[in-house]
Amino acid sequence: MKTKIANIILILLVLSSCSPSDLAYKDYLLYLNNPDNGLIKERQANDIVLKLKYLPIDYLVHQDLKKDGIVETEIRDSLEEVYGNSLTFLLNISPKSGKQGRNDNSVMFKGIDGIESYKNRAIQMNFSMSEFLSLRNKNGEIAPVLCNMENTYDVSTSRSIYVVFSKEMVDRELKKEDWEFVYEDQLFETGIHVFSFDKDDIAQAPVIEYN
Amino acid sequence: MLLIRRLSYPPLYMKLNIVSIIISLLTLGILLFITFFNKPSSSDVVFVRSQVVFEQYDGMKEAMRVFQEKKASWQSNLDTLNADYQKAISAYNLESIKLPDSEKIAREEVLKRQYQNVSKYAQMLEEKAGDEDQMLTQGVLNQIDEFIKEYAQKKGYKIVMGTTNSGNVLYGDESLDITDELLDALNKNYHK
Repeated sequence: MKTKIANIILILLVLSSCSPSDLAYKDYLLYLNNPDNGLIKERQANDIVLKLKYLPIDYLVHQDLKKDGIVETEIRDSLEEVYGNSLTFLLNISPKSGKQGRNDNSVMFKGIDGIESYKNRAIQMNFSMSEFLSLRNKNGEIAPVLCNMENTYDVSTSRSIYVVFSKEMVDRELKKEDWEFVYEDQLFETGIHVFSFDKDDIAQAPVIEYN
Repeated sequence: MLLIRRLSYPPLYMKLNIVSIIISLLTLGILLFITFFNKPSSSDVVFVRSQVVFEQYDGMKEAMRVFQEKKASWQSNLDTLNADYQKAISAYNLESIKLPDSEKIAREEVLKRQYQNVSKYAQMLEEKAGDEDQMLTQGVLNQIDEFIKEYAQKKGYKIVMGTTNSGNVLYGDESLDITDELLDALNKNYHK
């Protein structure tokens, strides 16, 4: 009898310790955007907010499928294979205060003293961000293979940059251990930012439930 | 009768004694209350040894490391240019005896331009190093400022003062020094 009770308690403990697996899309987004789950980080300095979000493979696949309205398993599997070769992050830079929605509060104009400064900022954010971003741990440091700033057509005061690292390089150079995402800010006087990611948080990210 | 009267109505001096005892007790009670229950909060105003925080903050150490690496790279480029110039000078000195005057003048002109380019590059690097140093330092200060704001609000501090070499805080009791706890929290936040 005692053994049975102990076994039941053990099973209940094991079940309760399991992280969520399949989630509906809305719940999945809530999970991703909850800082307690370790996939989104935030820093603030000099009236600027930096948000870094890890984008799991499932999320990227869903974005593609949603765009085309496709839910076929074969296409999903092939997209997972494609996205599985990379590690993708979204770095969002936004003003902390000021009237939201106003163009003059945009991060593109923050601290700018003329057209030359604006031009340099636009060029750096569009073409040179990979020089100031990296993934590292005690084993090494790697640069992204792709950085792409989203075009917001000036409807947003913030700017988002997709940062992609090669999974193969991450596994080879960083040896599958916890790593830090480093951003050396050259534009907004916020200094160097280090965002630590636990590989277990990445591995435990849930999958999206497709109906 | 008189005795009964005396016992029922205490004399004036006894009334005064009772009143003064009551007043004394009340005063003592108020003083005790002020002493033990109404102390000004020791966490309202605290201070930080700014220089210690600045030097031992991991963000500052990282910024210094990055700056030194860049400076070393720029210096290496400048050394290469200098070495090329010195080589060109040595070659000219060896060959100038055999050269006609016109060619000597032409070679000297080239060397002069090379020297000016190296000097301009060195000057540009000095300005760039100054700008980079200032930018990295300002970034670190902005990070520390932001963190102290959040930390003070979380801990309920009304004022956080910083000690500087010029002596803004001439003395502070150890119990008000939050340097170590702030530095610990600041460094943990840097690697979060």
